[in-house]
Amino acid sequence: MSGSNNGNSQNGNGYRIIGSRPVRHDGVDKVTGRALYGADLRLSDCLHGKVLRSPHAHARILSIDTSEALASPGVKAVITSADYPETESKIIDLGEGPAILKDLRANLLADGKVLYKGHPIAAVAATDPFLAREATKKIKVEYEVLKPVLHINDAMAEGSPLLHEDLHTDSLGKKSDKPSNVAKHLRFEIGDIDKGFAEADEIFEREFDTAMVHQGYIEPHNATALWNADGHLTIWSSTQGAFSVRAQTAGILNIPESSIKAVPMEIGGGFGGKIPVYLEPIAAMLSKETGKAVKMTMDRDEVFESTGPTPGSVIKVKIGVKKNGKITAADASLAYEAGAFQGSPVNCGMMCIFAPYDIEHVRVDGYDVLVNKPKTAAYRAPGATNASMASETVIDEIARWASLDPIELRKLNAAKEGTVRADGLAYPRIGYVETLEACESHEHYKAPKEGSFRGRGVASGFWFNCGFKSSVTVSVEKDGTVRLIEGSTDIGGTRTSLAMQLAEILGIEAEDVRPMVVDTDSVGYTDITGGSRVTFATGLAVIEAGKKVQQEMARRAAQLWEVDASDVEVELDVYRSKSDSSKSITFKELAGSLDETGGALSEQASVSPQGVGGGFGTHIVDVEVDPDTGKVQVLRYTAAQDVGKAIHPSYVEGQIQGGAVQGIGWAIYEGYHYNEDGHMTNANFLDYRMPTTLDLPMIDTILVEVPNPGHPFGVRGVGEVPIVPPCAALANAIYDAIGIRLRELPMNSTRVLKALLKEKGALPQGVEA
Amino acid sequence: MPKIIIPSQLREVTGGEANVSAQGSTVLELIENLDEQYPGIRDRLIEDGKLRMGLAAAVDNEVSSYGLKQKVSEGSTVQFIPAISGG
Repeated sequence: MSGSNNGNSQNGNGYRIIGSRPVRHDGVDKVTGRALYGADLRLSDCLHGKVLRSPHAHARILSIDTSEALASPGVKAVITSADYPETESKIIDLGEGPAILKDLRANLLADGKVLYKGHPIAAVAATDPFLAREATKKIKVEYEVLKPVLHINDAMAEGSPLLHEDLHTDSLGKKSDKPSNVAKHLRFEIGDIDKGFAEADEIFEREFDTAMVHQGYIEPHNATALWNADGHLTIWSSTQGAFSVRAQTAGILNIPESSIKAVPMEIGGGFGGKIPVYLEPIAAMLSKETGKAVKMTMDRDEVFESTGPTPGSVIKVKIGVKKNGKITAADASLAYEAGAFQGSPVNCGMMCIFAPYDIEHVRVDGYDVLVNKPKTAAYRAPGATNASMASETVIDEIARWASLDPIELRKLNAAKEGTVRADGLAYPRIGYVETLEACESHEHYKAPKEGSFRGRGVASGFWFNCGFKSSVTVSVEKDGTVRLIEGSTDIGGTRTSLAMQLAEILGIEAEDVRPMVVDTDSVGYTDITGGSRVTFATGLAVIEAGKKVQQEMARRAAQLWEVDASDVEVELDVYRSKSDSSKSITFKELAGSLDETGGALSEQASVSPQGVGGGFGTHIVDVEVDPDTGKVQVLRYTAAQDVGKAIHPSYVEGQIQGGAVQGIGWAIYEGYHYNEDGHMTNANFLDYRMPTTLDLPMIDTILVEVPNPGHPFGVRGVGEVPIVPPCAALANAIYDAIGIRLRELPMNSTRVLKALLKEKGALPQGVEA
Repeated sequence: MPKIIIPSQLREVTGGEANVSAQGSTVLELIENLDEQYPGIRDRLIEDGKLRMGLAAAVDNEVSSYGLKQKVSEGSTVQFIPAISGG
């Protein structure tokens, strides 16, 4: 067989399907409300579970008495951490990274100590959710209340109360002598930092403090579990990875992964926050206890207080620069909130903080710091936005000092192919400079800035693209349509981006591919949807399976014509005999002859790819600051990003717009507010202010396409990069508007107004700046 | 011989050396050989028979999913970097 489906362009980009904009396969279900989310699941004779959560941010549990709750109407079971099966404490592999089992378990149901307000203590199963909730109030818990540790600086201070008395700081395998709230210290170092600073004409040294923020997905966490009498457990939940649900639940409950079927329901947003499990093992334990299915759904305050937000941080940046704007050295210290258990994304922040720049001498220190707040989880480019807020505002300051346009300064120092990042890895072909050039020549950047209290800011950002493992199965139907079975939960339109890659390979229409996300019993192992990896990595599995299908279809054609398979060539969806031009057959016609040529045709592919393509973005924003209220209004926003190759440009544009909007929210609205007792005081969407369409202009996007050499279509991860630059871009725009550098997030109206008043010397007495 | 770039925090074990060479055809064999040259470095990189939690091996600038079993060739450069995932 020979042939190619890549050269017959119908949309002007060298491809027939790639780069076009077909209607999404799940669109009708989504807009008609037919898509089934976890809360929609109705099983017969199903119980409802509710969790008792800690009212204290830090306390020792002295006793738990569940007897009155157990005797309450409708209550069928009450569980605490004492009901966990016995297991040894160990590190378990969750597929894309290991986790400490005892921490996973203690986060789900507190063991001896509560470490944040909202920390689960016990769970009840009852015949209806209201009875279950009432019963939780009858569980009696005695506490010894301890002083909470709420800020990184306090947690790192000598003599701070300890969250875990047995935790010692790990410095790449070397433990500190004394216990500490600092779980990890990491360091990257390239070049000679002292030499680099000695070469500088000026050194900029600044400190930043950013607030904890939540992913803010609309759909709360939910899980339904049925522990069958035969020992098999089925879990339906809203998750970014069914296989990860299986692995985490199996580890926590000490049962074989193979005894669990995890069914991913439709997902109403995740952004990294639906990788950890919170309810699944609890629902499973309640189901085992009662012999019935148990359904659990969180309320919004539970989502805010008890699931993983992204960390607040304290970041120090020091950059040395020559008079001509050339950076000679960069040094940073990043301390990230891990929450109640270790594992912040400080490592990623460290890798990203100077990623856009080619700097010879770099040192970056990172600290993973425990505080009495919920265990943090991933959030779109985890750790990178905090880091970019720090480095990119200093870069802006340097540009002004050097009297250079901020894009010019970035071009002067830009990372290119071969540039070595702080962690030591060299870039393959990247498209950072191209994003800068795209912004520089864009009408937005050239437009005059008009009006007082208005300003423009620019910032750049980097994020990786993960590979990990993916599997798909492709089956050909007799009518010539194709079923694509995959295990990657669709949170960003990946059903369609995968279907399009298959259609491109097979020469058929995207609409003739029927993509389906299935449970863990029905597809090969697939890692989470995260790390901007699905269109890239699962796409590679699709391409491989598609090529196998094409090869087998050619063999079937050869069989029909009684020729050798090598005699068959393929162009788009047409299979022809090279030796007899009268013999040709379309994919659809051939599909109708499957029964005569050996029966069903189904091919499978599993991949664990390399060749990932990280991406860069550069954003431009115009703002207006109200000098009387401090309110920042975003007037115009343009985001350029190297997307490799946009498989479905509308979805890529949507990813960029969504990421930018979340970044804008992080910059000027959002943040966890804690009182001195460690209680979050804004655990609802009314007080946790997220931007709405009324707050924002249209987000313009510029798709820069520098193909990733590691993917046949040039795909790079696109979903996470766009949340990285907005905070710094906004901070730079606010400076341009009012001449004040803000180095704390969020830059909400209160903070901006205080800064304005302080600048004028008009801050009322007793008001903290 | 494959080259290994020693992470900053382990250079106290290598006497400050950042670039060293070791023999072996897998990452594990390199670390074992490295431990003979610089005793103690194995335990800083390996825990419970696997790369330490949160650590990944990169061979010739490609992060490997095979961990200690990743093959290396004579001209390879091996680095140890934090493992990443994403949101």
